[in-house]
Amino acid sequence: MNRSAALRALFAFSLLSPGLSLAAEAPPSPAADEKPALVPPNLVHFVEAPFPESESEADGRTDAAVILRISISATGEVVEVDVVESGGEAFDRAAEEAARQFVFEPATSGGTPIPVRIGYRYEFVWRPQLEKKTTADFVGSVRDRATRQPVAGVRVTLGSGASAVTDEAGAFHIDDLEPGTWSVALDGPGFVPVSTEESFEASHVVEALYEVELASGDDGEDDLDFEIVVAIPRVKKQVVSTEVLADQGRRVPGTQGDVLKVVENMPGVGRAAAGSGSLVVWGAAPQDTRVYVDGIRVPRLYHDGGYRSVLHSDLVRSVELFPGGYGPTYGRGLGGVVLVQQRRLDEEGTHGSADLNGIDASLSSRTELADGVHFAIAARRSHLHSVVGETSSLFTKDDVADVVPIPRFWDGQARLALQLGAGEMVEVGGLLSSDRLDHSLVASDPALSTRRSTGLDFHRVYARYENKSQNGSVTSVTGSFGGDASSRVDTVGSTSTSIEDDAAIYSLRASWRGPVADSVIMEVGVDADFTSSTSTRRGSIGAPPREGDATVFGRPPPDQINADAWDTTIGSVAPYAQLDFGFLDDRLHVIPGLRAEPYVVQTSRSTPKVGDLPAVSIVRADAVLEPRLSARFAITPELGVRAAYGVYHQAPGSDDLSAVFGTPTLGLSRAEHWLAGATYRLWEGMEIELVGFTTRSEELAVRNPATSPALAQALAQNGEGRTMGGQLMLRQDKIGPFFGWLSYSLVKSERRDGPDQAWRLFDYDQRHVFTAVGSFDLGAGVEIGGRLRMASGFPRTPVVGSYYDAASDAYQPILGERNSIRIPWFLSADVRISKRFTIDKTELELYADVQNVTNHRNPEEIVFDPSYSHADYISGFPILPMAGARWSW
Amino acid sequence: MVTFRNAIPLFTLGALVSGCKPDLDDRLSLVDEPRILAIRAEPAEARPGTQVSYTALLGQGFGAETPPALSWSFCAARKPLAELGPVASACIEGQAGALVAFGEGAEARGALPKDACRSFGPEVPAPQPGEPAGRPVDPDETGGFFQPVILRADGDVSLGRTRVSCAIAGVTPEVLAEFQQRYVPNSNPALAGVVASWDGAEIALEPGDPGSGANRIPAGASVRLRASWPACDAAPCAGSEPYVVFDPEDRALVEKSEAIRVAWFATDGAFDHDRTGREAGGEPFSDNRWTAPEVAGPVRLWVVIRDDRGGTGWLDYVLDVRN
Repeated sequence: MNRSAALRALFAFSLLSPGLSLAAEAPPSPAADEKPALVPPNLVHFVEAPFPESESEADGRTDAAVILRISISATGEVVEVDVVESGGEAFDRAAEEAARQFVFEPATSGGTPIPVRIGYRYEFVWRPQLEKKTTADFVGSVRDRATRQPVAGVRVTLGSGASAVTDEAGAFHIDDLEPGTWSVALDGPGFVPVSTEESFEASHVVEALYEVELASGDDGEDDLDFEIVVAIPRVKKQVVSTEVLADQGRRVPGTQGDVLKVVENMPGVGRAAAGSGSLVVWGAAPQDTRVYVDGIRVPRLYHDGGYRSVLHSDLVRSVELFPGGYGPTYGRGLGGVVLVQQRRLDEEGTHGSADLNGIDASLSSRTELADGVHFAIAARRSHLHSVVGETSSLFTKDDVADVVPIPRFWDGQARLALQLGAGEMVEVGGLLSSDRLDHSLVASDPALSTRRSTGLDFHRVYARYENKSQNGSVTSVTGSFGGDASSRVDTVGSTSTSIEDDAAIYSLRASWRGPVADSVIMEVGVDADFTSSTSTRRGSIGAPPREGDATVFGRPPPDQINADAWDTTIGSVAPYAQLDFGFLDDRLHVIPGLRAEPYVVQTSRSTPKVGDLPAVSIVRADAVLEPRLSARFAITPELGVRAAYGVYHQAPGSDDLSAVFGTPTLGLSRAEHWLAGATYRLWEGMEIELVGFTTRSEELAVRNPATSPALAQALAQNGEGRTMGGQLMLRQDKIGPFFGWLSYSLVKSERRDGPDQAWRLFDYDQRHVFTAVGSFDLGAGVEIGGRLRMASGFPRTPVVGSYYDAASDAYQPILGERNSIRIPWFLSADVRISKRFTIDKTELELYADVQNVTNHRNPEEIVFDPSYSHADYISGFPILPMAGARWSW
Repeated sequence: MVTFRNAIPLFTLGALVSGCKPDLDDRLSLVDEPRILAIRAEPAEARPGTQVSYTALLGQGFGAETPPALSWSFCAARKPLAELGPVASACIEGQAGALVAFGEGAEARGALPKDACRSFGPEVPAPQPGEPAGRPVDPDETGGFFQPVILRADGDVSLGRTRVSCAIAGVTPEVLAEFQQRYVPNSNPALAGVVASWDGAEIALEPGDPGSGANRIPAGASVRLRASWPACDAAPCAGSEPYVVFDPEDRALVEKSEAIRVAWFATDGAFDHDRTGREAGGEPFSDNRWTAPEVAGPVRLWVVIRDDRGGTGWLDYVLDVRN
């Protein structure tokens, strides 16, 4: 805060004593009816003298007075100023200078202007005046988490280059920071640097309290190991979201050290079927929840089998899940949004890691190539299929690969970031991912032989520009292009199904976010996406199965087949805007937003191929408005409430636009989300959150129920969905040696396949999901964690009888009411234990992650005997231990 | 982007963990109560309106059980795309108007419905003005369309399917003409015989009644059974027939040969495999192993042969298991 002195000057003037000589002779005494003999001068133009800079409140001087003798001419001008009584040299000069600029109405004698000299008392009084700064200040302290004692000598370095060192009181301050979001790194001699991020706004002070954890030296280790916990509350932009920082996510049991797998433990996320790796969020189908990496959409979060995510954890800063009700920045999906933020590349030196475990091997490296130029690269490749192949003979005589589909995957990322200036950066980068899954079961009866082969490759190349200005606004532009290539071949007996899809994807996201008025923040942007796909499909018209299909596990698909090849282009450009109004000293925020999105969907064939007739394409254009509204109110510093509403749309997938297997004229599906919740901070770092929500969706694509459907209408857009539920989360940030959370979701999700159909349970409905996660640091680099999961089983359709199909020599089930029974409850306890060793300035972590440590037999699917007269359950993973080593530097 | 919905759990989960799959020991090859084992239509393929003779193979033991009453119907309901079974549920449930009865007993004769190619084949009614054209029924991998036949036996339902000779939808006149010139309607396969061998002994099984003295097998013996059928060079034949089919992906006629499947049934003992067979173009025989019961006595044996165009044939024997 600049201190410019505003001064108030008091003056008094008095005619000097009779000893003062006047320039003119005094006239004779006037008679009673004549004009006064002497009229003193009148000050008509006062000049304020500035409080001298050299004098300050710190010196104890708050006032001063200077007595001046001012000679005034007959025209009222000041001709001479003399100091009669000094108030101090600086005050004397200031007073003289100001007095020389005074203008008077001249003194008069008998009505005639005369020159005079007067005495003048010039008084100075200091009062501070506030002016708004254009920079920010950063103050805080660092203390030991365990002892709560201040830690001195910790260097606090910002990404802007500013730094400070904590004093004996653990305090630091850094003034005049450029506004923006800067990384904050804490380190010291022998410390492993750790970092977080803070946002700074002009004319604001950010206060932070950092708690660091010092590893005990009981085992003789001299080096210190830090973990950083930000004790100040995190500002949330969206009404309902769960964010986990990478360092915590890695330590959650059951994630095998993969940060992004923590999403499976977040409230609102249903448990995926064993080995599927799909995300079921608030009752939405997996393909309805979008995944973004720094604003770039990717087709999946996890590799096949759900063992690993598609991004190396070392390049991940955080992952945040928005199950619904999110703002206009994102769209094109009826379900939730998963946002992965990549780690900022701003560290000094070279860092990285190498990890080897039973599933895969990975390597990552981050380095500063030059001042302001950073590079990062990471790669991972699975070897689980080799491990199983080499070791299975120890446990079974069967060829496991023939029975258990074991995925093979690899992924890689590369990034180059250039710091152009304070708050301005450019980054280019790329993502690659590949999955393959093959297995076959050869039977003596060719009709019972099954073969499967799937593959999914995707890549993205992007360039990003970001500028954080002095007033706190942020401009961001991200352009990307890439491709998704998927394939699938299923053969059951003589019925084969193959699907291939190659898509080219171009996207552009540009946004500006910043203050536009007091307590008003605006975000405007545009989100564009164009996807051009080439698809081929051949095989059973009923495979792969769709949500809502009345079928049972193990039943061969219909033997009716067809084939098609088609191209689609789906494009949309969505301008959006959002205003964040802050009221009541920023305790209340009302955030209206609007997303306007015109869509164009073009399909190369409107009807199946007939003879040599040329294809007739079809283009469908839709334009939708998506209002979004959210509000949050901090009733007290501990208690806050929030609510949100939003309209969302989703274009049909290219696979549903086939003239043979789908319907080329499908339009947009629509959903509405309503939610409300409250958060209460029990104490520092411990928070409880309760959210209630409901969603409605309509115009969903379902199989055409007509007995004689029209051509090119295998799907009808008659489906509807509704979900209602609540979630409760109790979360403890890392304080002391422990962090963890409890979450419980109660969700009912239903669908119906037409307005005249009855509501039924959604295939992915999970009524109850309970997750408890906790991690405890035992000291000496040893950490132990546990996870307990309980979840309702998925709905299934009962078999009430069977009949014999003599043509295929197999029994077919007679089905009861759709989704009227459930697979039994799922229960699993997982444990993770790790030990970290510090070797010079590197760290070696040995870990073991055991899933289903109680070896509980969890039913995953109902299986029948060939005549459907007896049923039992297939159980999921038995106890699954995984060990590994991770070396980081 | 292809999105696979719940396909992975439904298709692969059963194979996900071999050690965690329950052993539902229900061998279809053991006939311990009367049930339909096969349905044969003669001819195996016919045009709409053609008279077809149907025979049901009823498997049952030597007891004095009264054979179930059998009734035959043609299914008249087209299956919606939303149903994933082989026939409309309306026909299985016996809904009014869904079935057209045509016979009683183990054998029956009926004329294929004249609209079979429209209800279950590529023909669609002409569209009304302003209305889109109808969707033809999709063929199977062999290019076939099938008239469903419902056989009810004391409340149990069995489904038979008769291949119907129809045209091909969505092809050029040239392709259609070539198809009609080259395609030979399906014939039922026929077993040439079954040979049993064990411990150096070998016998060709003979049809006959219990007590005829034929087909003597030692109790507890592990018997290799070989079912053979005629080798085929050209259609029609009683083995793996060659045929042409329109490939919807290549949009051309391709030549294929039938795969042959053999189903094994017995009233006692145990087979290594319930089903065996040969891929297209394989050897004209298929082996299985049967372990005779330890207890002496007669055992019925049925061997059913099927081709993948819907044709069926069988042989049945009485084995004399002796100590």
